[in-house]
Amino acid sequence: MLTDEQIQKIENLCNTEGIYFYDIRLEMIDHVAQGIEEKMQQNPELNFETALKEMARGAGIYKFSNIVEIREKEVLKNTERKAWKLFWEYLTIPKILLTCFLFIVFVSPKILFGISSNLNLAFIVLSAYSVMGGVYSFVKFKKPTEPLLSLPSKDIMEWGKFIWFIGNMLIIFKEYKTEIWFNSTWFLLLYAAFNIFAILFALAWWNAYTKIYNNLRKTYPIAFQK
Amino acid sequence: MAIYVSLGCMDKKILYKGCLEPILLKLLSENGRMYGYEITQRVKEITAGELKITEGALYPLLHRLEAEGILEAEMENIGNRVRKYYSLTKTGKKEKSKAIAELENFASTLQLLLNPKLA
Repeated sequence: MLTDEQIQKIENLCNTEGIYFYDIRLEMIDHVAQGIEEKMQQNPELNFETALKEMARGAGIYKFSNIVEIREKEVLKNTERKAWKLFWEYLTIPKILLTCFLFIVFVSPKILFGISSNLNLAFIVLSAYSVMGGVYSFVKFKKPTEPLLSLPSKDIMEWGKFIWFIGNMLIIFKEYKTEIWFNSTWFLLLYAAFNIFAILFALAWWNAYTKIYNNLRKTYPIAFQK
Repeated sequence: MAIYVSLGCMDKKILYKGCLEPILLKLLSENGRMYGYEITQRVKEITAGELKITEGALYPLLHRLEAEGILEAEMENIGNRVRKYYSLTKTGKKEKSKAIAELENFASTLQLLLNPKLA
């Protein structure tokens, strides 16, 4: 079994060679360490430094090798694939039908009686919801102390909420706008549909992110420790 | 991915290229759970050094199968380091049977082409 100091040397080499992500580095350290142990067992005269060089070359740790780059690309691609898979899995037919039903409920006062105050109120509530969602996600999903490539970026979620918030603000203050299209029924209905479906998409993305985040916390607890 | 397996000559690399996934799934099904280095060594041992899986081929495949829900991973502390073990999920077990059947089917087709009398 390698000593703590030797393991640290492998880790330092990974850091020097730019293996930045914890999830890649962790597996690579174990792979290299295991290989070194076997090499040293087979040939007791072999020193650690030589065995390290041999194993590190094979595992593609050095910058001249593109093995790590290929692995990083693959992990990144798989992270996105996993997130989108969970996202689409959430969007079941009953949930989409319920969203359509809610849309009809929200817009019927406007269509039937020309009342749009309920829509305005909904837009205000949703604006507040998007801000609160941003704060809540910041608190709930604490950034890992070690960078993880398997954690999807929150950018899509944050930008989505920002656009949602700005859009709702514009609608709420539409009284100050003079453009006809902005106050037209079709635009209001279109925007109501956007809002209702934005909730469903936000929930789907939240669900995907939470599942991946919780799984990573379980798999790499040290990466989340302060 | 340019190279999947490393063998004696370039032609063999190409021949074995598509077989890595069924080999991996079969190994995991037989051994329960395995870690990366163990897989490379086990394959080398079974094939008497004929087939060597490179790190550059193995880990991207493990990560892809994990993302697809075919494999699940668990971490374990081994002395002063952490080890990542892979095992088949329920989906992975089904996928394994399918992948092996496909590979066997492919081998019989080759047999038909190369040696019709034996087939």
